[in-house]
Amino acid sequence: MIRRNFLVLNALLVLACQVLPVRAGAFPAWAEAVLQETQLLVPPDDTDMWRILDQTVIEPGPKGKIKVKRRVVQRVINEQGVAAASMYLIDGNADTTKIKRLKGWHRNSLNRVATLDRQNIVTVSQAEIDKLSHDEATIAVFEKVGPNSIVAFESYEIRETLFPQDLVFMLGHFPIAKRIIDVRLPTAQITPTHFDAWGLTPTINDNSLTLLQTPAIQSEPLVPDSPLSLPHIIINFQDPEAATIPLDQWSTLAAWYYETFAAASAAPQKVHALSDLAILAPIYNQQIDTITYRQRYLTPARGWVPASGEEVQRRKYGDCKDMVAGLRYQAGHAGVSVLPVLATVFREEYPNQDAPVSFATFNHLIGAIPLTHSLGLAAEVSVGTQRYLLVDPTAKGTPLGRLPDAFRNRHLLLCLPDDGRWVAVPEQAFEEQKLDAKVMGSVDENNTLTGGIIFTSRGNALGLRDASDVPDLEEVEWAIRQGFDIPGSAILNVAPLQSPTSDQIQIICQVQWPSFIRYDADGYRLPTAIVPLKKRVLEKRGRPRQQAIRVPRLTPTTWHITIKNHQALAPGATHTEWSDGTRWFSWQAEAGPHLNVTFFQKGHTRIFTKQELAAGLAYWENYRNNYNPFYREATLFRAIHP
Amino acid sequence: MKWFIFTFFLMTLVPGLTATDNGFEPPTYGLPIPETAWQVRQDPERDLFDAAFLVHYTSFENQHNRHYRLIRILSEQGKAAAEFLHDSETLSAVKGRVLYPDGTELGFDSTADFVEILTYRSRRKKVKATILIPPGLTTDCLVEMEWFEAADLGLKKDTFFKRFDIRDDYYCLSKTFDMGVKDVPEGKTLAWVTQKPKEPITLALQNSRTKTPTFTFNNIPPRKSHPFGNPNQAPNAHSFIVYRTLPFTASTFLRGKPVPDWNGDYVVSFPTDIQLIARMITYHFDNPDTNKAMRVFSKEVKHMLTKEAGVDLKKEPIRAAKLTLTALHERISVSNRLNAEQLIMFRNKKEKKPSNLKPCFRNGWADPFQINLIFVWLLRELNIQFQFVYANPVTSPPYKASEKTPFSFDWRMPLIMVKEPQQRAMFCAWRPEFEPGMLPSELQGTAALAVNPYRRFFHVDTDTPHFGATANQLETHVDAELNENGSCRLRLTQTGTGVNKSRMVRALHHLREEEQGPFLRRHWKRRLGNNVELLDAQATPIKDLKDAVTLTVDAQIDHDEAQNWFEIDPFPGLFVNLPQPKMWPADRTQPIVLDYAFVQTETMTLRVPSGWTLKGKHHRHRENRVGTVTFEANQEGNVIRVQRTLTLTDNRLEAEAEPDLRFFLAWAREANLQTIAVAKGDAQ
Repeated sequence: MIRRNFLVLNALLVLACQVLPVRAGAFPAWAEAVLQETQLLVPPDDTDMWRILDQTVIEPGPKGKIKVKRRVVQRVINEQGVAAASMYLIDGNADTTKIKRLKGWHRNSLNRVATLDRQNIVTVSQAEIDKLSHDEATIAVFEKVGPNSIVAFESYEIRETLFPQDLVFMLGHFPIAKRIIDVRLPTAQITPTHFDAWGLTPTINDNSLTLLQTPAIQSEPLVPDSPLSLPHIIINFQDPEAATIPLDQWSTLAAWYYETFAAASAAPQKVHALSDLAILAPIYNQQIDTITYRQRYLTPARGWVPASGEEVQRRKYGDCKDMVAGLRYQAGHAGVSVLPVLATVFREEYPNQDAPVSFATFNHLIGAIPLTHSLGLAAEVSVGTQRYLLVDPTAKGTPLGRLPDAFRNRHLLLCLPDDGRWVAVPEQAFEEQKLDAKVMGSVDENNTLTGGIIFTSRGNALGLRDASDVPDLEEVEWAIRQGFDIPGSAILNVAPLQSPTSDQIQIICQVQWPSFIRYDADGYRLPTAIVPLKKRVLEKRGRPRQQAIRVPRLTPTTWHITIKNHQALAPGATHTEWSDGTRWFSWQAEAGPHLNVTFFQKGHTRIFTKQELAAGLAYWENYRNNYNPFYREATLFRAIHP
Repeated sequence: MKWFIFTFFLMTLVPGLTATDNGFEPPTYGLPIPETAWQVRQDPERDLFDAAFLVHYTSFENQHNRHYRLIRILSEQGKAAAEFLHDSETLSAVKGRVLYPDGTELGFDSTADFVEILTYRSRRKKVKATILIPPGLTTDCLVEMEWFEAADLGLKKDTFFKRFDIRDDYYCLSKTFDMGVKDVPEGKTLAWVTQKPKEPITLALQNSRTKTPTFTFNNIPPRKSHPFGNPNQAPNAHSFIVYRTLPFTASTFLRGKPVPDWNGDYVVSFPTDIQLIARMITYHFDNPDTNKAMRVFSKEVKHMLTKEAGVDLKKEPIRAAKLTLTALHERISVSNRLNAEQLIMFRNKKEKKPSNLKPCFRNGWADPFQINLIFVWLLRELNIQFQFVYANPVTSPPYKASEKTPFSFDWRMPLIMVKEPQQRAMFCAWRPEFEPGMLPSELQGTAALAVNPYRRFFHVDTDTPHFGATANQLETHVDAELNENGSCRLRLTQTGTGVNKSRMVRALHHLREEEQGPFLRRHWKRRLGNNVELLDAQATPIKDLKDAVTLTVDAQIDHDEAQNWFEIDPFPGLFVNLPQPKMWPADRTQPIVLDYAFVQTETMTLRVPSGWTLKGKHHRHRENRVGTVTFEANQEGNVIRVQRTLTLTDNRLEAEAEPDLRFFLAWAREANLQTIAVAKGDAQ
């Protein structure tokens, strides 16, 4: 295996090993001016570094490219802010970004000014072995920065963009006194997004936007993984005269993508709707079995344009769009049509037709196969009178006719010739996933369980469906530990797998589990893998919650425990159940030397946006107020003294 | 004849190994692949999963080293075995093909299959790498590859050794090193060293057709990573080291002559190489560029030792060395451990890193190498005899006496050993946070090489001292009061020794005094979580790494007044500083290496309102060969006392102790989660 971070680490090491000289110089006038302008402001409490100015100017560049200028001035408040303030980073792709200027100044606490030496600038690759690209990061670093230092950087680069659109994010991990985005492109329109929810009140003159005193993004629990939910500006600079990719409506973007995809995939043209699944199944299964997921982004458009279907079949690797192109190519030879469908997965943003039109909305591509009639499959959708089957060739453990759980509650953009339609993924497209564990054995005086556990996974809940014919039992053990949260201290001896059925896998383990019954309060509890600890509050003391709330999904999981304990115990409650429609738990337990417990819980993903924060906090508080007393009282076993 | 000499030496290191003259046949790219290659399948008994190297061949040649691989791919994950990243500058003539069971094949020698990326670019250097992801891989195929790597008589230009780990990420049926360098000019000899492998690996030594020796290792299980482990310390960890011998004899150099020309005669004895290199490297310590300040300091130290401390330098060299190092640390700081005042001075200085010792006494700091130089110079000035001790951190490839190679050490950073007739002490001058004579835990109890500069650089294998759990204590007392309304005020006081103290001090001593309080408050706020209100966190002001430190944290926890019993966490924000790995691969053979052994004691005194009682009985003691965990609580009048003690007896454990370690970690976590129940009256 190749170490993925090898390249970056290597380069940082080289930088760290250099002896960096210091050059004297004057602080630039623009930085002096902004320092003068902000001298009466005080930095927010509890920050290590304060960015006094963060300015981005976007201008026309040569040959239809754009010129991005940045100026940054930052003050080090304390020692913890030194590393962040010393460094300046420019991300880009070697083919699309040319850095034309990069300068820096450091004024130390004695007011001596040093300028950035070129030796302090290093460019490193950001390629990874399964994400081949020419992406690079250029890093400039000052040495000898300390508390009260002021550091300024200035850069500009020429960028080539595929789309006539750019996104600029407003907040960072440090507060900013003055944030300026100045777009000087002739046809540009700027659309501030999520500003109101965050209470940001910009001053806008033409396409120049200024924000004062922006807060830092706080680290908080249960935050959705969705950068697009943070305040940002969408900049559209479509030139009506130029032949650029249309981003005025979803349908025009979809139509452009259909044409682009069809041309690049180079699949046979004479195709029609599918009438019999038997035609598609062998092609799809062959594709699933032979093509490995791997990104290969070596040209500026490769994020969107697939390799030809023939090349995908030769390479036998590719990313999502390559896999769809490969399927389109193979299916095309059987006369079957495959259309591209743009999707968002994993990222906890749920766009639909009402979302602002942006290329950045999507991070995945799947296929849609027109059907002559319904084949009775779960992952079918209708657009008008036409029925389509949705297929995701990257989802190796998911059978044809269904979609993986990542598509739950999602809308997708179906790309058609000259049109595009948003479609909702039907609820029945997903397999029902369930986990079940039966624990048997006895617990000794040291509270160690010795016995066996039968783990059952339905609907590929453990992801073992695509395990190889002779699965490595350590891989199986890892899947169990992840799926059931079994602690590493529990010693599992996994028996070879029986032939799994298509929807159920059963794994039998011998187990030695220290502290299975653990002392707590004045009694005993089951391990946290079975009964999770009390839920904590989501707001930091003295600081209102800042970000949206994500209540994560819980795979429906049932633990059945039938064990002989070294002493008789009585549960706090013999029967309890609760649900609020998002979270469920139920508990059944019997007293005596034999412990018989059944505990079930499940939960749906639920997102409370920034606007719904109050409701989210109230939801979580209600959940806490129900779960925590249940944990405290019902799940505490006390010894029965004869 | 040279190869024969080396073979002879190898045979002395690997008993029972004899060369055969059958004529080793190097693999040739493009020939028909034997049918037996297809018969290799996944085999759990042999740990053969996903892929296997059927032939893994490296030939060291005059201008290019040749690499050949025949790889059996058996699963989706196994495709990674054929991936390839190589620096572009030295790579040439890559050829490859994928072979399928039906007899068809796909070549991948076109440029489209190779991706060149920039590794890094600085003002002076630009390095590129070539990545190959072979096309056409399936879960049942063979991959044959060949490439060449530019070399200068077997080694990459400007390098003088290379260590190959025999094990890979996948099972390897056969791995061959072919010493194909021929007609070597004098002074550029390529030597090698390895050991006799352990079962199931076997080693065969053959002569190739060109009469150069080849070493073929067979049946090599994959390298495994285990929690708290170092794969290099596994019994089957095995390396093949290729290195350039030095072009002059030890005897010439040891007579005090300067380093001779490259064209001198060369050394073939591994032990002599070490002696010679030790002499060369420790040469830095012979004559450091002294200055007046150093000489004045030396006189002050001598005066302090003999007149103030009354040390007999001849009879008590260890005590003298300890006091000397203490005085040196008081006078000169180590540059990567400066306190806040020194950091300000350092940052405000324009000068670059000094090339000699002159600025050290003026600035008040020196880099780790310089501080070692000054310490050695002081010992010499004081006529205290010492030895250089070379040891590797336990996370690195260990020094193996049987390898007899000088390439595993950082030769600039020896420990300094001082001996008395009945005892010895080792000093790590560049880690001033520890008392002189105490070593950082990663350098404790490890195989080492001692070099005696007073006996013609005679060297012996030794080991470094190993300090027990009591050297690293962490004691915390929580003084708390519970009110009728459920609010609980508490004050936590913490002190430590050894590693625990050094961590507490190093977190603070580089911060200005006004920054230490806010830093601690933020740190403890995070540790206590959102359910506990931090009121204050303070520490005794720290300026020096040797300063004593006491930490005080005030906090309040509010329980729900409506409840008739409270669940109280007696030690909020305190936890055992041990990871809880999720996965422990089977069949561990490598020893267990934990950060440091420790004794962690926490006590709580909780005053409760009259009539309130501690519920349940709390007296647990669990013990195994890894350590002990105890938890006790009792009540006397209105005072409840709780004590939790964890002792990790040793931080180096044999592989067989793994089940006990897992039990210990479970007990530690249980003790960590344990609350006590305090009830109003006799409430249930």
